[in-house]
Amino acid sequence: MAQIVLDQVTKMFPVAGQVREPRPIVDALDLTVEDGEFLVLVGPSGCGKTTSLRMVAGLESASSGRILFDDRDVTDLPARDRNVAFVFQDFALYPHLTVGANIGFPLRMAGVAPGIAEARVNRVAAMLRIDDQLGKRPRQLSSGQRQRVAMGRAVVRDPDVFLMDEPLSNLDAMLRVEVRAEISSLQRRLGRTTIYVTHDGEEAMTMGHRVAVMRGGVLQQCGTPDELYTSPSNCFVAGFVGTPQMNFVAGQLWCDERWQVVFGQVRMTLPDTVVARHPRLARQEGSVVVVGFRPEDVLVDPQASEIEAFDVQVSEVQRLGKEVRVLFPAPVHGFGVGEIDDLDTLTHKVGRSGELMATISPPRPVAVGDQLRLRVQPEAVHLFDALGRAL
Amino acid sequence: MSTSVAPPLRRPRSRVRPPSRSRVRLRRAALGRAALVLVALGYAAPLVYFVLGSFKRDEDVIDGLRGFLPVDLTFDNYIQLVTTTLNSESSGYLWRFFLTSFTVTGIVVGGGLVVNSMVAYALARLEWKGRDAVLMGVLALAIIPFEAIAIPLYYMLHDNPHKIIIQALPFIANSFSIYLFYSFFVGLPKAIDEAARIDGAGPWRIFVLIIVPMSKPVYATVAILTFLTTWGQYLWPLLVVPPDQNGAQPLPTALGYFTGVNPTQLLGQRLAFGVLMVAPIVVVYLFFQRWFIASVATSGLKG
Repeated sequence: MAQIVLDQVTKMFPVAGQVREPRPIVDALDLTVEDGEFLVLVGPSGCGKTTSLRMVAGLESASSGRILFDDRDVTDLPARDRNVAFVFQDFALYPHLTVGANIGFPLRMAGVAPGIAEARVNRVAAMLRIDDQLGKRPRQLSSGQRQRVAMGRAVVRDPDVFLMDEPLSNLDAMLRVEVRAEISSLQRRLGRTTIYVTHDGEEAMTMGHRVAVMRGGVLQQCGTPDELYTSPSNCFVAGFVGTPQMNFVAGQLWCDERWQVVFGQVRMTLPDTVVARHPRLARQEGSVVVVGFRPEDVLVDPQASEIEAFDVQVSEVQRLGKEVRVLFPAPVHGFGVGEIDDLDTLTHKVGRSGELMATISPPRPVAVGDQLRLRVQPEAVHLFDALGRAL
Repeated sequence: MSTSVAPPLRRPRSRVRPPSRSRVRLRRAALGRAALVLVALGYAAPLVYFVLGSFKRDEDVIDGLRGFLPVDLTFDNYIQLVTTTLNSESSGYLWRFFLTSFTVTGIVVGGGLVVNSMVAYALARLEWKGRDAVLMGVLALAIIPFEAIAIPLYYMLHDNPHKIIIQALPFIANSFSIYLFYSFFVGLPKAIDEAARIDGAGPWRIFVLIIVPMSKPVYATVAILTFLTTWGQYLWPLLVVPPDQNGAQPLPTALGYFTGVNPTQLLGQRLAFGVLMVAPIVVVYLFFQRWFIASVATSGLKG
């Protein structure tokens, strides 16, 4: 049982023999994981999430800053003295040992008597439903079973902290959803502090009590999945959380009696809830802002007036059964166009140059080339300044 | 019809085709084959002569081309070799030289596996200051031939009375073996070490319990290569083991000393000696090769 505190933890990327300045791969990370909490570290590859996890594990040393387990400074403690368990992306099972010996290895290292160790291995194997596989070698197992063995090896020692580095990325899609639920329920049952690293936003949202979004070595936001969804702190988090991704367009803020945001020909009056959600709104009057809205908050509304809707031509249709996703060229500057300072670097997906998406649910027949009149629900609008920070 | 089921592997010879063309082609192919066979015979001849000669009386060995024919064979040479002390300046039974060779080779192979794999582990899997420089140094040593350091080594060791140890000592640490171990260890997934570190193992236990069992193929490779080079050592034992010390003579020098200096003497016995000397190499090679292939095939790592 432990609370984990990361205090200004920084990791400089070693650039051996190069003139270039060493750059931080993790930059002054402040993070507290409460006792028994399931925290998910999420971000695109290279954002420093795995490095952060490895520093907590003691596999990587911190260049500066402190790591505390329950007020105990473990920054310079070797991995084996931290009582953490680590589940590796490719499982890292010992190929020459049987499943039973793999699970029992930490106990063997700790000098647990063979009889007691065997009993514990059997109990853990039964819990993970691999008790009939104990005599096999890892290569004889399916990837799902290997994943369980890796979990078993982590659980058997009864560690204070679980650290998992993308443990599901080597499983196929069907299995992933199943094991995801298993890990969640295991963590609930054992009640151990857990840090879970993934690049999959959906995985993060479904599993974590809290989710910490990282980018370029910097923590962007840490909060419950609901918090991240309803009030993302910047464009990056907004774009990362929720599938399909949020749409971004350039707009301008006006205030005559009521706050309004203008993008293209649309002049949208902001409801009080939106104004309340954006405390920095007042300082941005007249300036260019980024307007974000999720595809599911775009409605097809032929009756809408011209001032609250925009007409688009459908460029692509994706049918998912329960809903239809349509892509269309942005009627104003969509994100990625580069008109707004730093926006294309702040939002992590640059590929969708200027195309926006709307989700039509329940589905209705739509074809490429159709003309649609679309209206954005004003209550669901997110506003960001030109640097991508939430207003 | 059953013949129509099996597809013909060769194009059926057509009688319609003008015979001259195919005949030219055939003749050319035959000539090519003949040339290849000739070259192969050239290479095989000494081996055939060597093995057959060991079963012949001295005068039959050098009896012109008859030396290549398996006639007048006898086991006398082998019986002589095994049962009597060998003649000339000193004497000793054959099994003693075998014992010496096996002891020296055993020390070099066994010691080499331990020492070189440990060095390679430190170079490949541990992090320490100056590691890269040491690695470069070790690899650079591989280009120095033994002959270059034979004389200084001789001055350092020749008056040491432990002749068996001296024969083995300079060859235990071997940069080429280190290189072989190094390149294998470097290729093992790093996450395995890290998993073991998390599980509570230190560098020593990671090596013994994880790395070594995963590296059987490279241990086999290094063992067989070390065996081959050590078994045939001639120059070094010639330098450090005086002719009168029978107990410390390995097979190659023993062959020289104990069949005498006159090259026309004991021809059949020399060849038989040679065959016996080579036999363990063949046995070891065949044995290890099978094991070696099996171990490589089964060590499908990943996950």
